[in-house]
Amino acid sequence: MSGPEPELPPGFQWLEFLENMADWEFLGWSFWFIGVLLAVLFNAVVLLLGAWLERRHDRELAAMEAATASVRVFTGRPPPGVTGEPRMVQTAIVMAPAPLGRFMLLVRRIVGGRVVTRQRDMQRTRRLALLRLREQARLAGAGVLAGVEFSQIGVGRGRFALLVTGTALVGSEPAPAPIVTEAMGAEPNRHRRELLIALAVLIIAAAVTTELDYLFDTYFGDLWKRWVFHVK
Amino acid sequence: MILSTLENPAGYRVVRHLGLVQGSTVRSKHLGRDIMAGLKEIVGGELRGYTELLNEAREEATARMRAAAVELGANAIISIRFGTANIGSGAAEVLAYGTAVELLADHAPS
Repeated sequence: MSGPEPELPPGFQWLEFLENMADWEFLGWSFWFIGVLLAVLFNAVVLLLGAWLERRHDRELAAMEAATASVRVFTGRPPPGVTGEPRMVQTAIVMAPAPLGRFMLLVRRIVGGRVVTRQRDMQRTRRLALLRLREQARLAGAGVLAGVEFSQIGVGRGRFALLVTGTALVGSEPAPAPIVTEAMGAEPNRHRRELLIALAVLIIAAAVTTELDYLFDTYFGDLWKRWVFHVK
Repeated sequence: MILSTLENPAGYRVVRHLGLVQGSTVRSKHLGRDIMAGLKEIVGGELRGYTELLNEAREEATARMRAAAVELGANAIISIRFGTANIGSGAAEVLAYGTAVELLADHAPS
């Protein structure tokens, strides 16, 4: 521990510069605090934008559902008596999860439980895939879509990719009354509550980080500088 | 040619089974698309570049399967299924397979 301090060679003045780095200030705030603030702001903007896009997409899906509601969908054979010229329809979709879902998944990894937002993302992908398939069937003049199958594909981490196929029976009768099937069983949209939770977690995390930095600086602030730079 | 995911399309009967036909492809998108997808991923939503990639792969696999069926002299492929595999990030394999058959409409003279 004791012994002569190593002499700094000439040209190492930047050491002093680095030594004072933790005390840098801008507008009366430390650089650390500004960094945390910018990270919180960026994440808050991404969360809000993502939630808005998700909401807009939900509205688009509802409109698509209303337009294609008359096409009946079956996973196996069509009901007895339904005939038509078979025509294969297929679609593929790759979706990135909404930022709110990603954030809530991080929170849930700590406290556990059901990740509703993430579940909703996956349901949204399946809804969109089925709707595109129904739209193709409707355009082909089919009222019944049978033999529908889903295949899941992995294309990068976190993304949901689906390949959906079915057989449109061209010339078959559509449902007499509109039936909306994709929305059934889907998780209700609770953006506002989830957004509030996410923003609260973000602010608490930022406050804890800033406080920890303050405590560290108060009690151990100079210690690491002495160890690393041998500065008194 | 009739393509169907059903085993026995209603209103038709199978007069000849010709066997399994398949077609596959592996496709990838260029780096520019990957970068755009990475940016879109920040806010979430559909990654259209990758959707396009899968749709192209699917169409190509179906076309190859159809060509195999034509070679066998079939007029339909029934029980079509799709299989997929992830070949690294940004590339995907799509396999289409089904049974090549000769179909005849029920009301047609045999």
